[in-house]
Amino acid sequence: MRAVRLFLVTLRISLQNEMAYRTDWFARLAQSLVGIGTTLGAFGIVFSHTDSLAGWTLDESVALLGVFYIVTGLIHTICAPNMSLIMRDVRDGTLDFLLLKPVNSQYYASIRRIVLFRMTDVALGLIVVSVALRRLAGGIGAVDAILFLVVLTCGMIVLYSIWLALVTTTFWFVKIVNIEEILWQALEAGRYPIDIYPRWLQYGLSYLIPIGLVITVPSRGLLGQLDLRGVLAAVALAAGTFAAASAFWRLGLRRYSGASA
Amino acid sequence: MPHTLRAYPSLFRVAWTTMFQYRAEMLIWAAWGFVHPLVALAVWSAAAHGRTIVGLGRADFAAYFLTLMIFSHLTMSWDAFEFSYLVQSGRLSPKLLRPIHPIHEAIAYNIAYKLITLLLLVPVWLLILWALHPNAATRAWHLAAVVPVLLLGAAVRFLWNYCIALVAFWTTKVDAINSLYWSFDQFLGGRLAPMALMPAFVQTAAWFAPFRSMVVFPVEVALGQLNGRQILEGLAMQLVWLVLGYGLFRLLWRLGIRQYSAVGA
Repeated sequence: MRAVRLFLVTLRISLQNEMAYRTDWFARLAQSLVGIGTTLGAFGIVFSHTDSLAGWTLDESVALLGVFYIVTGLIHTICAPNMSLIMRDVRDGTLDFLLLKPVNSQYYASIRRIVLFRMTDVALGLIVVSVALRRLAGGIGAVDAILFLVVLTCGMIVLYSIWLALVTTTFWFVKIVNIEEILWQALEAGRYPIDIYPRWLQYGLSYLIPIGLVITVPSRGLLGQLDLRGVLAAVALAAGTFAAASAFWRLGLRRYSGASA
Repeated sequence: MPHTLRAYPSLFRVAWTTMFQYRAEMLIWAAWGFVHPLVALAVWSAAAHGRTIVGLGRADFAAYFLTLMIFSHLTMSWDAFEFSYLVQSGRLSPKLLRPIHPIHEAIAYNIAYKLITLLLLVPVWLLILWALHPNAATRAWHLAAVVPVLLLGAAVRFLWNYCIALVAFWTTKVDAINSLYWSFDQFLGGRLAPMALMPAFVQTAAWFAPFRSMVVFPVEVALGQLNGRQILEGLAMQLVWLVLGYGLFRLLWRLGIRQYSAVGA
């Protein structure tokens, strides 16, 4: 219960902060529209020369693009801001303040900052997805919608866990500040279905940095191409990586020697 | 001018030493250069699916996007992102006090960045070259012609990028403008696809923007897709965009510096 209250407090403070910079919302909206427009234009050019991209039609690819914006929007809103705060705190030695608080350190470290205006990406992604789905089949069944949400949540948990694990390495290697760029670079590959890549890269994007699980697999769920076995595998993978990342976080904390060191 | 040139060795030494401290970070930034061309290559290979599109097959796409990747790195410039930070934080002020224009420092850093990253990127490029089996009609004289063309391309890209950077004098938030610039580059600069695959109006529009002169034109020269006359025409275009870019830079700087109020001072 206290965890929920803590989250709500963070949410309120974030909202207050951002209301001071209201024009940022418009700048962000313009930037997202340009980004989506560019990719849609790229789709237009590609699909003027072919009907299918590794088995995906134009409308299916557009649905996937929507999912891409939902996922990256959520990451920008809650995951990435907190992860860079952790790196800054480890570097500056200010993680002390976090560790002294009587809450689970991993939980608190993961919800300290919420960049709400990034939710514009999520909203735009939802619009893109619904337009694509309407063009495809006139909507989506309740079962498919639930499967989509389950797989999407699992994918986000996996991505969060990998992100946390990567950030936890700063306890050992303090110096590299932009290590997260590697994750953004991998995410960028998820703008298209991972089926377009060579086999070895598909494996990498499915198991090593599972962008496929985060974007391509949920999109399949939306399109009604997902079976129960795939969903169960996603749930198991999410639970496993989350447990591993938490263990690694605790191991990293033991290395942390504080501000005065 | 002579005293500016004499400053270059020390500017460059400082840039080299600073950048070398951050070599791991720089390589991670530089890895962005792989992402977009390789994604585009995967897209077009999947779209071609063993056939050819407008006469281009997988090996042609490989040659195009690989060359694009290398030339894009060699002509790379990042001042549009950096400069707004200098304005916002007021860090531009000490640079203005020096008897040399800040653009020279940017040039020195630009060259140092490329030299340091090249040490590690060249082997990776060779590895990709070996893995992808690209196909191009390159002859020796194309490679000779590509040197001046590529240098001009780098100069055009740097100058126009710097002009976009100077917008920060008026609006301290430049993200939206930067993404617009990036988007135009995607279509008019041949990032998404070789120009031949673009709709006709995009191909026409490309002549009225500087992007074509930056990377695509050098790529087309290197791949042996242009004859002598076309190369000379392209060179002339590059010179036009270079002069226009320089003029715009002088104008924007003169007007912008009056706007500058040293935030944080």
